[in-house]
Amino acid sequence: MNYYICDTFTNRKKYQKQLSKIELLLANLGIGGKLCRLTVLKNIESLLEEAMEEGAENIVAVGNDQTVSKVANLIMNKKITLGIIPIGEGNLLAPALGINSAEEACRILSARKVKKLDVGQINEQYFLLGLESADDNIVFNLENYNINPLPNNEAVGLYNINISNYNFRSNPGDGIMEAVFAPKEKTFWQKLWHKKEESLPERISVFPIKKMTIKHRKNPVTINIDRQRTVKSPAEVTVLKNQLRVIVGKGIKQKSIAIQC
Amino acid sequence: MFGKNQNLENESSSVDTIIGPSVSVEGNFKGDGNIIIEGEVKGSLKTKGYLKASETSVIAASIVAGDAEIAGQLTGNIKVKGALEIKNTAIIQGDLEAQAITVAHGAVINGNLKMKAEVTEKIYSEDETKADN
Repeated sequence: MNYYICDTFTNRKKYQKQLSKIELLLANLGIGGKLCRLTVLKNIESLLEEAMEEGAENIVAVGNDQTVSKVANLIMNKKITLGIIPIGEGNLLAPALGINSAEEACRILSARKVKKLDVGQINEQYFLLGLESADDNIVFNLENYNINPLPNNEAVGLYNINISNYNFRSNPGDGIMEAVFAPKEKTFWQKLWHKKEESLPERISVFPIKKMTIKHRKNPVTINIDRQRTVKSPAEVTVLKNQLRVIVGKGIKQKSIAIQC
Repeated sequence: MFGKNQNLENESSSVDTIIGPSVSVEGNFKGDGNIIIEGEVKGSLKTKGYLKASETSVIAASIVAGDAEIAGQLTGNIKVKGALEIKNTAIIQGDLEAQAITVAHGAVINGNLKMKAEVTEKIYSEDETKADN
């Protein structure tokens, strides 16, 4: 049985027409199920508990990346397959999984191609997209070595799927996440001073990660989980290989942009 | 993976680790894939793949790699299974060991060079048998 969980923001008037269209399309495709709308009174935990009691096999997150992340966190370690219907803004995960529109998502759900994705665990929480921090006080402590960002860093992240603007390869099914350190862009005066190097952009740093501890040098740093929750360092991070069953589109985009040397 | 005669520019998408100029790595780094170093490394570095240390790299570590290209500062010994290419900007304080070594004009090396260990061993063993006869 399919359970469709619509996020709170989809209750807004501007999404009603799209939701009705989706409901109709799902019914036509023969994959209609129970459609539940999150409200101030109905939270996601109680809805999912109810769905699991009723023996739901597929739970479909109708909303954006935050909706998917919330649902994924609650269905981990359970025999449930996650589906995605992207609606609204802030959808980076769905296109990365070959789901480019809500209408396409319905057809993908009907085809039901399942792929096991990696999931990250930070302390007791799970994440699907990645971790980010803007604090260069952070230290990545791996089994045999430490990675210390220098003060000229703009952002630090650990990604399962490349949702950033930086160019690096990421595959959400390889059991590895990519730690990325992006330096600040040179200012106009710096570029003028180093005229020769002007054409060469500062390169990002990329490390393959399976397990690590995020520490700090002086003060604890804030780590953003899936761009919706935060946690303070120190934190244990583990990549759980192929832990979540997700219904995906035909062409999964492994953001693979050649790194220029 | 990079072959001996292939360069990193052509196979840039197969780079697994990039130690850029905005990070410093301390400890014993071990990898299977290709590595580009443009920043600081202290400790030791091991990879089965290709290692490229650019002009901006500052390495104080012992290196073991499949193939390598050094263009920056290296303090420590380097042992390469295949080909080792030393660029003209390289400043190396340490011993080098590889099957084949290319050194560009202008490179600074203070250390011993050891090449084609298997061939040298063969020559020695041939000499020894001649002497015995």
